[in-house]
Amino acid sequence: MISLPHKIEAQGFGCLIASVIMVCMYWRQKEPFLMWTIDDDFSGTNWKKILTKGMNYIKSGGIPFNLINRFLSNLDFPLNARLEYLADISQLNKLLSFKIPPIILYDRYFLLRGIKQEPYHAVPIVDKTQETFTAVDPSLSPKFFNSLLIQDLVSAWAQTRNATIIISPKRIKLRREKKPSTTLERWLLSK
Amino acid sequence: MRIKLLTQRFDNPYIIAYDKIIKKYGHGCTPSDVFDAGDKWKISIESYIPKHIIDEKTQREKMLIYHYRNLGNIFIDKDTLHVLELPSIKNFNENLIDRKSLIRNSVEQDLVKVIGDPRLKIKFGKMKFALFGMQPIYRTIINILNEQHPEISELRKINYLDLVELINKSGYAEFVNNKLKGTEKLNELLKICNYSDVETAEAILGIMLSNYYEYLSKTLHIIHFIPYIKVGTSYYSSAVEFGDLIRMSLDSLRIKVKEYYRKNPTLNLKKSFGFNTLVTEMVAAGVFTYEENYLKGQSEILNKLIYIRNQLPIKEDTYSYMV
Repeated sequence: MISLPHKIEAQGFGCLIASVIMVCMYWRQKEPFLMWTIDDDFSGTNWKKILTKGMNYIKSGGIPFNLINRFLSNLDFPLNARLEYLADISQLNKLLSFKIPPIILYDRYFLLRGIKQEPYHAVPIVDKTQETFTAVDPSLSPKFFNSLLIQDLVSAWAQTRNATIIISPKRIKLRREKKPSTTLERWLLSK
Repeated sequence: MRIKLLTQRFDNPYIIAYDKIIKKYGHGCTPSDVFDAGDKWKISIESYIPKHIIDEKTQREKMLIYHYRNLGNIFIDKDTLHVLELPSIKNFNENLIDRKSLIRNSVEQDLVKVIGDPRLKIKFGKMKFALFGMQPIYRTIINILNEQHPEISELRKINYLDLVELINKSGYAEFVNNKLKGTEKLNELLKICNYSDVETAEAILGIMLSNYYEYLSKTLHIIHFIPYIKVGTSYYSSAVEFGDLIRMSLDSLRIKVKEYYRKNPTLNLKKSFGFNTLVTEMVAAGVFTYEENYLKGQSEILNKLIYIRNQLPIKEDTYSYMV
């Protein structure tokens, strides 16, 4: 299990920036010898300032992914952020096995009720069992930990085309291997 | 260290549009249906915007999601699957802000209609800054009730005539032999207000606001009451959506006003500086009350707003659930 050193509470669109900062804190603790410009006092004022700064990146329609990279580079963090549309759930396992906590975007309401309503909810995944993934959900303070049944998560995550934000130190190189293509005819039939 | 990840291929217009949207406009936005537009695909953008409401005293929470459709279109070439056209961030944000302000304006107008009802006995005179712009109405009514009947020429000379015309239009006064006199309707209102000239003048202010809100603010540029309406709307819109009188601290209300009227230049630093005074006056007027250290609305106002809301066809989908 990946242990995030500090949990941040957030609601609505704030869940994405809270997740991003929690993962940054994780890397700050795990990789202390990188070129950090910030201390590791996660409840201190410096990190609070970063959270406030991050919340300013929330626009009318949420946080555009392009701004997350700008946010990290403005902070001068030795980290990269990538938005990937993973092929399936096994790719999350792969990231966890490398101790990288992926931030997944999924529809929380779809997971609970089967209706598309919140296709923006973001949580970092920190653990996996046979049947569940464990997420640190910023909207579930003070408990934070949430077990997501894999079977239900697959369809809720599919609402965002398996969108996943991967934040990792710059030295970690991620290489995409594309899933075989679906022909346009088959895609139209599946609609 | 190198990690190989299996990812999806960008082989259909939906995923291509989704990728563009999430990178450019925000993670609350998604494509809706894909339409065949000849040699290209047309995909419209929709947005899911959350609103978190909390009763700070009981810590009861509710999450409300607004669903805005058709905020712009993306065109993708059928042969190459390249994005041909997409709205600029500025246009997209303007569309979203316009749609939000439509809802906001209708809530504002509902609130003005409700608090203008004389039976609620809102003391408009206590809202001093609002009274400032409406002085001609207030003073004229006080004068009429004290048997001082001004002439048209007098009212014109002191620039009161535009506003006094509104009293006449509503049937509370009329010119008789060039002099302004109260009507039977004004006498009935005086009776409802326990024969108090101040209460009657305050009731007339409320009626004028509820009948001529748009005209007063947009045509006559009398904007002094707008900050009060904005504060009231920010609170009562949340209370209506929550379905109960929520309690919130002064600071939370201040933040809520800023969020609600985001990007609106009229909520500037000067107004935010006077926020405490504004709220204190609204409490004195009876728009809010204090429960311990929390601000709370009036149940009569909330019930009427909920009643109006239920009568209207809802233009945007909203979903809500308790968290």
